[in-house]
Order: sequence, then structure tokens, then C-alpha cells
Amino acid sequence: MSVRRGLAGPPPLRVASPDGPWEALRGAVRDGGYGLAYGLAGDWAPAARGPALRALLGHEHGRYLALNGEEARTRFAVSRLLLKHAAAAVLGADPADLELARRPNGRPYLRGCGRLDVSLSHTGDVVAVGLSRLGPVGVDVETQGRTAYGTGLEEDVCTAHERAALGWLPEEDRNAAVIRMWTLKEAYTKALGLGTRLSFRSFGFTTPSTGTAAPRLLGTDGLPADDGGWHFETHTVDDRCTLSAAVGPAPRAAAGPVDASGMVDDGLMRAVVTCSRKDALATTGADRDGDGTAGRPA
Amino acid sequence: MTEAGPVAGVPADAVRQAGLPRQAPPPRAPAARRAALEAVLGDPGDAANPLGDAGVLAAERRGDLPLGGEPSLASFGLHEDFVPEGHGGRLAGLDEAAALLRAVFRRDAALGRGYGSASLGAALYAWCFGTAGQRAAAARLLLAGERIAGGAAVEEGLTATAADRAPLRLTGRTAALVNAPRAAGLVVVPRHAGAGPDGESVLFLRRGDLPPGAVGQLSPYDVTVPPRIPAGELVLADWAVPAGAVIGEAGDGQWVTRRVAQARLPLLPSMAVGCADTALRTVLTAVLTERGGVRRMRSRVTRRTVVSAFADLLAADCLSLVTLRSLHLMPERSSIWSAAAGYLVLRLLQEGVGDLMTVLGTDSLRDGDGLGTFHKQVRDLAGMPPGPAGSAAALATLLPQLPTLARRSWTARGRPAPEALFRPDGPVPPLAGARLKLAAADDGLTVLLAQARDGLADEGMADWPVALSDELAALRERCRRLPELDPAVLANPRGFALGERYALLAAAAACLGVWRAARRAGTGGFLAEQAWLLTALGRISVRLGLPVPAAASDHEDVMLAEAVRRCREGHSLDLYDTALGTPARHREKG
Repeated sequence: MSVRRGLAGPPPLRVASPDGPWEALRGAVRDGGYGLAYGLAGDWAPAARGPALRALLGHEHGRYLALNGEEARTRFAVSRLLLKHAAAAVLGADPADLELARRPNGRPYLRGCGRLDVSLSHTGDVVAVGLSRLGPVGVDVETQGRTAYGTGLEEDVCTAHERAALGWLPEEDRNAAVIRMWTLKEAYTKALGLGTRLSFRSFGFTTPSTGTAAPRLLGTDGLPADDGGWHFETHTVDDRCTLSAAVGPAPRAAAGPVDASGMVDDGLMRAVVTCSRKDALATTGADRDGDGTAGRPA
Repeated sequence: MTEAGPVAGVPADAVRQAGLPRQAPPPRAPAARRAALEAVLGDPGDAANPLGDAGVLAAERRGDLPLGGEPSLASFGLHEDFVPEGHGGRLAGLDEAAALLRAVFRRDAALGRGYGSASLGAALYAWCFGTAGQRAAAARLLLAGERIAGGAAVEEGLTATAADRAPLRLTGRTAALVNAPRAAGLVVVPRHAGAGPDGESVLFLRRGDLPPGAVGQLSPYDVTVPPRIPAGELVLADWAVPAGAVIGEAGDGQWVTRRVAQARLPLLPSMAVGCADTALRTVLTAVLTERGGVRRMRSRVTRRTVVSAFADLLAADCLSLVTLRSLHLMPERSSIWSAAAGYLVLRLLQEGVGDLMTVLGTDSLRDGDGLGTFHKQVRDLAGMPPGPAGSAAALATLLPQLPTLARRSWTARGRPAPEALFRPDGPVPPLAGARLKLAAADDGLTVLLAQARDGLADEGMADWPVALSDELAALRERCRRLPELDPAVLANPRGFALGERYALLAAAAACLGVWRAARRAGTGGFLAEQAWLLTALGRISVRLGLPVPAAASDHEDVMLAEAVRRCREGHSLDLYDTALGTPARHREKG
């Protein structure tokens, strides 16, 4: 399994409730290595008010209660519900068993389940998640109706080459192109865990206008940069938002499956238990403990 | 700190029981050995040095190992450091061996693996569980400058057939084995035909005994072959294994493999500290020379990121040091720390170094001016084996022990590990494989955190981060409520999260232990200062989700000054503060 170079993956999957359907997302992560999904706050609001919320939020429940306003709380709850149910579906785990933790640079991850990388983004009532068993993943979603071109934003986020490229586009396409570049840069720097601390003018992208072609990473000079195997894509979701994603390469060829039961070596765990049991953990001695098999040397 | 270690010739028993005498010790052999190796490897900043940063980068682009790298290491006799002293080599402590190979990893991880760590890892089977004859045979091979390949995993594709009183017969093929085409010895672990999941044998095979053509070279384009290191596979058809090849007993492979892994798996992460070292040094050098679009030293981002990466590197080194020394000093207790190191060390290094990209400003993608070396080291860290299999093994070792250790340990009443565990270059007794245990009876490492709960005023520390001690108590409460000896309860993400919390606390305790030992040694130096300890603990606290009080700004200044000094003087950024090759002279703007 590997990312198809030059081509975007399937469009992000819209999921309307904790019940899924999740099969397509599971399949995308299993076969393609990563998956993208999004949900609308309106669809998820009933679940966000449900009794299971507290257990699902876990240690984040206090942060949820401290949020100001119903809307902010709902959006927060929906983002956690979507992320944890999506990750649990891929991992074959209970969503309430997942702990959303942060690395020192602020990047979220599932504590103890680092093999499945996750990313979250929202704009208005749209919440997007990315899941990857390859390398790190970053997603960013932004409303297409937002005015970006001509506001000075492109001066802050685009390389000189990108600004020149914008000038070659028909006037009416420029805003959408800036949104694509901006979300791609957000997605890439989120995947790297660097956020806006990484200068957005230190790298650029091609921004094909079709969702099926993958954007390419460019240097400040506008020439293709060595992307080190990173994969980028940008999609239109719900006919009104741009969702961009960046997926880093798998560090090793054999990444293997990511179901939770595969994250721990069963045989070894049984052997450790046998060692504890047989040995009764005497404080001394060089006695050889069993591994649950016959024929141990004496 | 300086390259000063404890006194040579102190009996290991005395060290274990009483700690070390408090006197200024003369340099011990390991520091001199590292300095000699550094002299062979030369100045990393010298563009004409084939083992310098530029030379290694050029070799990587050619898909080769650096020119003259392996012959230089061979003439230095690095292979002698993989053979125990008792067998005519120089191997005393695995911490020393890892620190030595780390010097090679600072230049090029592929060179370090291909020349050294692959052979050392395979040879551990002989050192831990070999007969006298097998140990002597392995020593003869290595001392002659030959390599031993294999031993990384059970071979699913190779089957052993055992008949009564007849030798084992092997059929099938192995996965890709690093160095196999040029190895004089091979350690392979075939499965037994018809046996369940636990029927394996560890075999030590000599190349000369194998049928002609049995070892095939794999294409460097094969996805399972690590870049730039020759790899091959062993293909056999009903071949009779020579007498005396089985390490341990036939059918006992899993038993042996798991115990060897306890010593083998923490080695590579410790060497990988060298990759993070060079990455950090490269970025710091770019900052100091004010190159291109790189952020300046006065930038908040630069200061915070450099200090964080330095602190993570030291924390990773502390956990590695404690783990590798525990294999010698308290092998019965080492399993849980070995697992914590296997789970955490590479991640600490990756997280600290990865964030340095922000310091490169608008040059973040450029690979000129030495920045290519930064990107290379980040890639090497990301690709370091064993990957997911390593964390699966680490969690499998950690999880079942948590409920037991929570009941038996993790309180201030526990007996803390001896101070010798925390002293870089302190002498250790030889490795005793038979004493390695998969489960620890208690945990003398995290006891340090519990005992610090009431403050460390005795140690001259006014503001111990109590939240870390409380986190250990909270983990203890949660794990005590779980049933013992029932891993099914923990083999889920909730359990994995507990395992990660333990690993982070073990790293915090290792830092505390190293700081305290340096302080008690009374020789002063950077490691005896609170700045690095509290910065490293702050980073660990953030990872645990604990509130972190704003760090004293003078800590940042102390850390930065030390990092800059080491960078300017050409010293390593790990616990050893080793002078690298010939010190580089960096031209800086006034």
C-alpha cells in the first residue's frame, strides 16, 4: 500500500452520527494508509448533548465546561465525538478509551496510539478530521465564501512565485486559489506540528483546480522542492468549503495494520505475565521463568 | 560535564552496594576511547573530510556509505568494542558501547548500523545465552573484523524440522537481513514445523558451513532493505543444521529472543541520540552564523525551540543510560525500563528535533549551507527501526507489569535504585543473560519521584515540580484498581495510555537520578545544575498534560549558553560533552 503519486485520494467522507457509516473510512485507512472525514455540527448536535459525552471527553470535560457559550461547547464536543468515533472505528476500539493528548508543540495525538496519527480542523459548522497510519497527517478546512484575495492575506502566506502565479489566473478564480494555498499550508504545518511558527513564505504549492490531482510542494523559487514523500490534496466539501490535507511518508515500508489489538505483542505479553506469575517476583535468584511453553532449559 | 568518570578498578560489587567514593576521578578508559574514535572520524565541519557533514551528505545522495568510512572504523578496531573483555574484546558496559557507536551515528546512522550496531545486536545472543564454544566462536569472528548478521526477528518464512536425535533441518527463506551478504556469522530464528506460535530455535550459523549460494544479495531498491546498507536473505532447502549451532535449547527460541531483545532494543535509540545531536548542532550553527533566512538568536522561537530540543535530547539520553546500565547492574529489574526506553527515547528525539524546522525560517526547505544535514538526520530518526514492532513489544512488556508494580512499588517507601545506575561511564559488571527477567519485582527508578514529593531541599532544590510526584501517585491509584496478571484488561487504548504515562515518568525519574548523581559527585559541571533538569522535566510534564509553572528565564539562559558553548567548541550535546573530531572554527558575524 502506498499513496498514489500525483493523484488525490477519495473525497472526504461525510459522517452524520456516531453510528457512522465508518466502513469507507476504515477501508481508506486500511488500503490507502490515510482517511479524511467531516461532519456538520447540526448532524452531531444530538450526540453532543447525550449522556455519553462526559465519558467520551474524559479529562477534557473540564475544558469543555469552561468554554464560553453554547455554540463553542457544541463545536468542541462535535470535534471530539467525530475524531474519537472515527479513530475508534479504525482502531477497533471503544471511543471512550481514547485520550486526546498534546505534544509539547501543541499537536494533538491519541495517547498510547501514536501509530494512528490524527488531525482536527473546523470552520463554521464544519468539523474535519484526518487519520493516517503512514506518517503525520494535517487537515485544514475553510469556507470558500471567505474573502481572502485582495485582503493582504496573500502577502503574508504566499511566496513571490505564488503571488505571480495568482496574477496569471482569471480574476474570479483567484480567491479560491488563495484559499487552497492557505489551507494546504495550514495542513502541512499542522502535520509537521509547527503551526504558524513555520514561515508560510518558506514553501509554496501548485494548486490544481481539480480535486483529483495532488498539489506539489514548491521551493521559494517556484521550482519543485524535494517533498520527501509527502502527499497533499485539496477537496471541496459540502459545496462550500475547501478541505486540504497533508500526509507524511511512512517511515518504514512495513507499517502494518493499525487495529488496537495489533499495537501490542500478544505472545510477549503472555510471557511477561507468566514470568510474573511463576516467579512470584522473588527479589533474587537467577531462576529461569517460563514463557508458557514446554521444554524450558533447567 | 566533562569527560570524567568514576575511578577505574572499583569492584563492581562495591559500586552496587555503596555508590561511588566522592573524589575527583581521573578519566576512565571509555572517555579516552571515545576521544580516539572522534579523532578518526574527524571534524564534521570540514568539507574535505569524507566523514564530515558535507561528505556524508554527498555519499547519501550517491546512495553509498561515506568514502573510507568502514575502513577507518576497521583500522580503529571498533569491532573490538562489540566483544566482552572476557573474550579478548573491549566491551564492558552496553552504555559505553552505545555511546561509542553514537559518535558514528552523529555522522551517519547507516554507517553506524552497517559497521557496528547490527553486529553488536546479533552478537548479544551469544554473549547472553551462548555456550562457551559459541561465545568464543562469535568473539573470534568479530575480533577478526568480520560481521554477524540477523537476530532482529523470528523468521516466519524459515521452517525447522526436528526429528528424534537427528539434527534440525531448515527449509525456506528469511526476511531481509542487514549485512547478510558480507557477514561471516548469522543468527536466525526459524519456526519449528507443526509447532504452535511458540516453537522456535535460535541458531548461530557460520557462513562457511552454509551451502554455496545460500545467502543471496537483495536489491537496494527492495522496500524492506534499509538504504545504503547491503542486505540479503538466507535461502535453504532441507539443509541439516550443524551440531552446536543452537543457542539455548532447540524449541526455546522465543524464550531466548525475548530476553536478548530486552538488552538489544534500547541500544539503537541510545545511538540515535547522535542523530538528534547533529541535527541540533547544524541548526544552532546556522543560527550563530546568521545564514540566509534562518531566524536569529534573539528570536523567541529560536531560543525556546533550541532549548527544548536540547532538553529532550538530554532526557532521552538519561533514560537510555539508566536502561543500558540496569542491564548490567540490576538485570532482574531492567525489563520495565528497557520497555520505557524502547517506547519513548526515539519519540523524544524526534519531537525535539522536528520542531527545529521553525528556526530555519524561510530557509526551512533549503538543503544548502549545511541544512541538508539537518534534514538528513530528521529522516534518519524517522526511519530508525524497529518502528511499530518496537512499540508493540514495549507496550507488551509495560502493560502487564503496571498493576503489579502499582501494588508493590511507586511509593516513597520503596528502595531506590543504586546511584551507580545514573553515572555515565561508571564501571558495571559483565552482562549476565541468565539473570534477565521479563518482569520486574519492583521499580527503584520511579521511587525517586515518590521520594521527591516532600521536596528536594536536601539536594539544594527549592522548587521541585510536585505535579510529577502526584502524577505517579495518580497512576498508582489507577493501576492498583486493575486486576493483576490479566493483560486483557490493559490491551486496549486506555491501557496503552497508562503505559505511555509510565514511560514518561520513568524518563523524569532518570533525569532526576542523573542530576542528583552529578550533584553528589561534587565535581560540578553542567549536569549538576538545575536548569537542564527542570527544563527537561517541564517538557515531560507538558507531555503528561500537567500544568507547568513558567520556567525561570535564567534556566533558558543557562541552557542556551551551554548549547552555544558546545556548538562553538565542537562538543557533543548529550550527557558526555565529547569533543568532536578537530573542533570546528565557525566564523560568526560580530
